[in-house]
Amino acid sequence: MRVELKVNQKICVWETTLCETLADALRAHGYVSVKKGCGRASCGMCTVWLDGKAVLSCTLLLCRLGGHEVTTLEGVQEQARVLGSYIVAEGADQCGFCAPGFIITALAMERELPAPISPETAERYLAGNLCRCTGYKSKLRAVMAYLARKDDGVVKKLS
Amino acid sequence: MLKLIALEKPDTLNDAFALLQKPNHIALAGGTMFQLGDREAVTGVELAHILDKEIVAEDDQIRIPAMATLRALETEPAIAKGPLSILPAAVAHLMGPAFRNMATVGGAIGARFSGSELIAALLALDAQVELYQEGMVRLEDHLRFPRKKDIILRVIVSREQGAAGLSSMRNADTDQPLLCAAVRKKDGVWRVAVGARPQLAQAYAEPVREYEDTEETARRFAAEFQFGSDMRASAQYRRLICPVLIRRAMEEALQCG
Repeated sequence: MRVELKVNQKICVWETTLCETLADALRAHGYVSVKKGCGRASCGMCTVWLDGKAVLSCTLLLCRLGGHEVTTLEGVQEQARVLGSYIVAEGADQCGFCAPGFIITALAMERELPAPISPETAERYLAGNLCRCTGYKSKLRAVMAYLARKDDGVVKKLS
Repeated sequence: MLKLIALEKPDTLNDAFALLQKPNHIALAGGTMFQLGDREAVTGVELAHILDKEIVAEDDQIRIPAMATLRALETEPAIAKGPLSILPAAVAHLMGPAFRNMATVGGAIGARFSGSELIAALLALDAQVELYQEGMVRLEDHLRFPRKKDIILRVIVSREQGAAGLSSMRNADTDQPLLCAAVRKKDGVWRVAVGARPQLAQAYAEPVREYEDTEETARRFAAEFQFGSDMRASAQYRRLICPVLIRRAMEEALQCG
């Protein structure tokens, strides 16, 4: 069957099966920022935006998504680059496998919640994105520094 | 994993209901259980496009449509305070917001998800469900009946709730609870619901006894429930912590009320 949807502002018509997940389809079409971790909606690696809201693409069936709009990390590269620089500055990245899901969730939080966002609120929002390398404190510091930034292109460390 | 062999997109609720009466036809809501299901050769009946999503706050009740996501429930301003705030509290710990943006209220109830803290909270608040075929029924009765392939349209919760509280225990912050207790005190009656026992949540109601302290009452209420073992906790452990969770929920209710 065919499904027409928008991916990163681009209209795509993809052939799919009834059991193909959005995560598998995105990766097959070159959107490899989308990682598959648990494959059971538990780890947050496969997070993308569906109609502007963060969702877990490993459990969404592509055949149900006709007419919807998907945004992956490739579609928000500029913001991702800025947040990524804070993650690097805080040493919050090791293997990097969780980074795309983490970054796109953090950007969703920035879009969804009114500023200022407290560290407690950020911690709660990001709780569904698991990381097995760095722990979470450095990631939280990076996000808080990113949220507190002034857009002058200079990465500021909070700690 | 669920293995779909066909996907139906009915135009009306009537068509959807007719499809669901056929063997091996299942309703598709948020889709979060897709990877956890183990049925093969099923036909999915898409409901997302024919059911409401917007929560409606009226003067005397809150109408929560089946396709409202857990995240929408969590962020609904009309229930952020007061006794109904146990509803957002019941979903706020479940995975991350990305999961809660997908999982729906109707999906949790329709699947009779035994680990659902939300079902326990709704039972304590004596919520009603509006079904396409059966009409309005109490959630408690709907859960007790044998499974029928009716379509959940919405959940209705009265705003006149007295005082309510919720307490739960979990092994990890974003996991489902290993036990949860929700209570409501209204018109001189305690209504207690215990969920994730690990069986589906059940409710128990009893008039308030004067001159009985909270701890003793909680212990008596806990004795009304049965517990089982699973990978999260043993039946013995659940039996031990149940009075504590009920007492904490009662204390929260008494503080708020």
